[in-house]
Amino acid sequence: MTGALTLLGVTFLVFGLSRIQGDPRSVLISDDASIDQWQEMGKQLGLDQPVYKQYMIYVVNLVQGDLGTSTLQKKPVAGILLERGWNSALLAVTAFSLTILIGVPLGVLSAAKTGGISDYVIRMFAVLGQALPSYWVGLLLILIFAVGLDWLPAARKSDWTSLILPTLALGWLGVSGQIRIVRSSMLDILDSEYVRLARAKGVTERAIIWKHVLRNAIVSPVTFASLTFASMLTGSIVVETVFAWPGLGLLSVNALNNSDYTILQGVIMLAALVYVLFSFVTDVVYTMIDPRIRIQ
Amino acid sequence: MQRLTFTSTPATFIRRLSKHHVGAFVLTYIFVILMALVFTAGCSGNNEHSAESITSPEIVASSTSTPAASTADAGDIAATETPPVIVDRTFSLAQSSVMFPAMVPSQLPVGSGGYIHRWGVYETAMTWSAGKPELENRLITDWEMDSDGLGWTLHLKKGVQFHGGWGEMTAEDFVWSFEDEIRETSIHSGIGLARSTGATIEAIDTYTVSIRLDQTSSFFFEAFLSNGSGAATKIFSKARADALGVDGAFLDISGGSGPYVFEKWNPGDEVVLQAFDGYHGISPYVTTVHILEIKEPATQLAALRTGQVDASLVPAPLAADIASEPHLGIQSFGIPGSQRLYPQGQFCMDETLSGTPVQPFPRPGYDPEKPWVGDCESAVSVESARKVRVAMSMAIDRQSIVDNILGGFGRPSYLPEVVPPLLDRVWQDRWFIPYDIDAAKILLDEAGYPSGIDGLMRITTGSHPLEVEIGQAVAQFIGALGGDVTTEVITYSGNRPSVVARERSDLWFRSSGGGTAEPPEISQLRRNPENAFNPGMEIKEPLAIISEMDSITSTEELDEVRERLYDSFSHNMWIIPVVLADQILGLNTDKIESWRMSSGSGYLGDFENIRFK
Repeated sequence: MTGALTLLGVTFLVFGLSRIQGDPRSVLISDDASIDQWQEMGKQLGLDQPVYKQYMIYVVNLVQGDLGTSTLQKKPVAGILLERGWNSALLAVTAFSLTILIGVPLGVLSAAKTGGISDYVIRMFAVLGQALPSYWVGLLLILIFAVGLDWLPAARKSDWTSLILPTLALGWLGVSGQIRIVRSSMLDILDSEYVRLARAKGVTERAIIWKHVLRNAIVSPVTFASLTFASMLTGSIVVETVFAWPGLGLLSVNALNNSDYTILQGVIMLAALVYVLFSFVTDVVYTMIDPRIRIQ
Repeated sequence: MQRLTFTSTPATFIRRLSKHHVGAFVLTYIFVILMALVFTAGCSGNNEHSAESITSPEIVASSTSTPAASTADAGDIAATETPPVIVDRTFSLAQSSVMFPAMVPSQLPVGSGGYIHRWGVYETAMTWSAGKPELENRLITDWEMDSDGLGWTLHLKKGVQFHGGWGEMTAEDFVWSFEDEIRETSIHSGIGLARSTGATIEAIDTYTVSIRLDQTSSFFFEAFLSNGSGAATKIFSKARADALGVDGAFLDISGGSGPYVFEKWNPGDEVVLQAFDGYHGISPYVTTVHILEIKEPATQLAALRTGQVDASLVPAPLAADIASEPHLGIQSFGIPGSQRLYPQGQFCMDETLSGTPVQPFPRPGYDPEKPWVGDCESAVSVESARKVRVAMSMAIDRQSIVDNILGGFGRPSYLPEVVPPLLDRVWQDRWFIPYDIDAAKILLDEAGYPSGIDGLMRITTGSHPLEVEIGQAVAQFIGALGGDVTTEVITYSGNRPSVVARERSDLWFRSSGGGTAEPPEISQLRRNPENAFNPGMEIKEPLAIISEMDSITSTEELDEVRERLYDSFSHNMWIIPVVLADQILGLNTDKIESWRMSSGSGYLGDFENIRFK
C-alpha cells in the first residue's frame, strides 16, 4: 500500500517536473518556424490540453503499462528503457558484486582490528571513496589505465574489458559506504555483553566475528546494499556520462538535453518502481535474517 | 586481540597475518583476483579494444575488385594487379551527440537534418566544394535561372540510385521531398523562407524540375539547394515514403542517395555508415565510418589519445597539448562559431514586415532598469539605449578572450553572425570596435547611467565547450563599467521557450556551433516577429534593409546594401558580437593523411574526403 502511494506520488512529481524542465518544441522546431507552427506542434504533442488532463492521460496510460512514445524518437519508451536498462543492469551487477565482495570483508576487518593499521588504511580508503567525486575518479582511472598504461578502453561498451573501469568508478562509492556501515554496525555489536560472554567462554575470535557479530550486525548493511543496488540499477548519470556507457543514466542526460520528457518520465518511474520493489524485498530479507522482526 | 607488529621478518609477518587475520587474507585474495583481472585485460585487451575502435582491417583482393578501391584517389591505394593488400578503411569519430533518426523531410529536427547530409547519406542538389567557397553540382547536372529572376530550372543527374533498393531518383522524388518539407505541419528549418517567398516546385519531365517564387530572393537558392544550411533540401525517395507510410519512414534509415548508407543509428550511442556500392559519384575511400557518442570532452580526448577513435573535437585550451603529441595533430574545420550577446527586450514592431499585427505574445515594455532597451516612442530614449549597448560592446576586451580563453584559436568578432568567408570579403575597418573602457564610461554617462549598469546575463550552453567561460568573462567586462552583472547558466533548450514567448528583456549570451555558409541576413531575418525564434530584437530598420536585399540578384549590388546593413548594426549594436571561436579537430596523424571538409557548414562530415597514410 505504501509502495503504491509512493508510486502515485512519484507520478505527480515526475509529471510536474517534466513540464517545468523545458518545452520539447524548442528542440523539434526550427528557428525559422512560425508561431502558428509552434502552436500546431503543441496540439500534436497534447500540450494544448489543460495540465490536469495531460496528467490523467499519463496516469491511465501508465497503469496500462504504456510509458508513452518518445517525443523525438517516436519509439515506445518501454522498449528504449529495456534496451538501455540491460546495459545499466550489467554495470550495476558488477559494481554491486564489487561492493559486497570487497566492502563486507573490509568492513569486518576494520571492525575486528579497530585502531590498528589495517583499520586506518581501510577507513582512509572508505573516506576517499565517499569523498572523491565519481567523475573525477572516472577520469583518473581513464588517465591511468587507458591513456597511461593502454590496458583498457577509455570509454564505451565493447567487450568485457570495457566494463572494468566504469565498475571501479561506480563500485568504489558503494564499497566505501558498505565498509563504513558494516564497521559501525559491528562495533555496536562487539561492545555487547554476549560477545564478552562468548570470549569468556573461550569461543575463537573468528567464530565470534563471523558467526555472532556479523550475523547480528547485518541488518543495516543489507538495507544499504539494497538501496545501493537499486541506485546502480537505475543508472549512474555521472559514471555513464564519463565512460559513454549507454545505460539509463546517459539516456536521462540525453532526454534532458533534448527535452524528451516522455523518456525522462519513464526513467524516473522505473527508478521509483525499482526502489519500491527493493524496499519490499529488503523487508522480506529482514525477516529471514532476524525472525524477531516478523514477530514484531 | 593480537595486533600485527612490523618487528618481525617478512616471512614471519605473512605467517602471522595468515594465522590471525582472516579478513586480511580475504582482502588479499580479492585484491589479487582484481589485479589479475585488470592485468589480464591489459594484456589481452591491449590494442584489441580498438577493434570497436575500430580498426578492423579489410583485405582487398586487388584494388580493382571493389568499387571503393577502384575509384580511390590514385596514389593512395595501389591500383595494380598485386597480391592482396590489407587496407584499413575504417574511420571512427567521437562526437558529443549523434541525435536520432527522423527520416521524413517535414519531421527532421534541425540537428538530425544537418547530420544526414553532412555525413554523406542524403544529398542536396548542390554542395559546397571541399577547400574552397564554391558550389558544385551533386544531384543535378545543370541549372538555369528563369528570365524573370523568379525561378530556376534544375536538370537532374540520371542514374542516381537510392539506398535500400528504392529505385532511381527522378523529378518526382525531388518534388515530393520539397513539398513534404514545406507542408503545413512541417518543422523543417527552411519553412519560414519558403513561405515568405511563396516557393513552389513542379516536375517538367522525369529529370527536370522547376522551382518558382512569387518574389525574388537572393537567399533561397543557396539555402535550399546547397548543403550549407539546415534548410537544405535533402532528396528522399517518394517510393519509400509511399511504401512505408509516414510513421514507418520516420524510423527507417534505408533511404538517401549519398556515398554512405546507414548501417546502424542508435540514438545516444553510435552511428555506423558503410560505403554505398551503387553510388552515382566517386565511391568513398573510407569504407566504414563509426560515429561514437562520447559526451565528456576529456573522455573524447582520452579515446583519441588511446587510438580508440581516429578523430575528435578538441577544446581550444587543450589544442596545443594535443598537437604536441607525436601521433596526433589538430586542424581547424568548417566555419568558426559565433559568440555574441543579445541585449533582449528591443521589441519595437507592432506588426510584421508584411503588415500582420504582432501576435500572440505580450512583449515586455520599456523598463528603465534595463538600460539597453529604449522606449520605442522616444527618440531620446532609443538613443540612450543605443549608447548603453555601444558602451557594453566597447567594454569587452575581445582579443583577451581569444588569447586567454580560446588559446588563440579564434578571432574577435565585430559584426553579428557574419563569419568567413563573407566577412573577409566585405570587411570595412570602420566596423572595428575598440576595447576602450574610458570611452565606454563616457557613453554611459551621456546615457544617464554614470555608475554603470546592473543586469542579469543568461549564458546558454550546448554549442561550444567554452561558452560559459566566455560568457562569464563578458559579464565581468561589462561589470567593470561599474554595475553588477550577475550570470545564470542554462541549457539552450531550457531557455528557448522564453525566447519564443518574447518574455525576457535581460542579457543573453549565446554561442552557436560552427557557422554555415548561409548569408547572415537569413539569420537576421529570424528577428522578424512572425517567426517562432526571436532573441529579443524586433526592429524594423535592419529587416527593411534585408527585405530590400532580397530583391537584388547581382553580387555587387548586394554587397552595397550589405554594407549599409552592417553599418546599421555597427552603429546600433542591436546584437553585440564578441568572438568567432574556431572549431578544432584532433586527428590521429599516424593514420590520417588528410581530411578536406567543405566550407559550407559547421558540422563534421565529408567523410568521403578522408585519406589515410
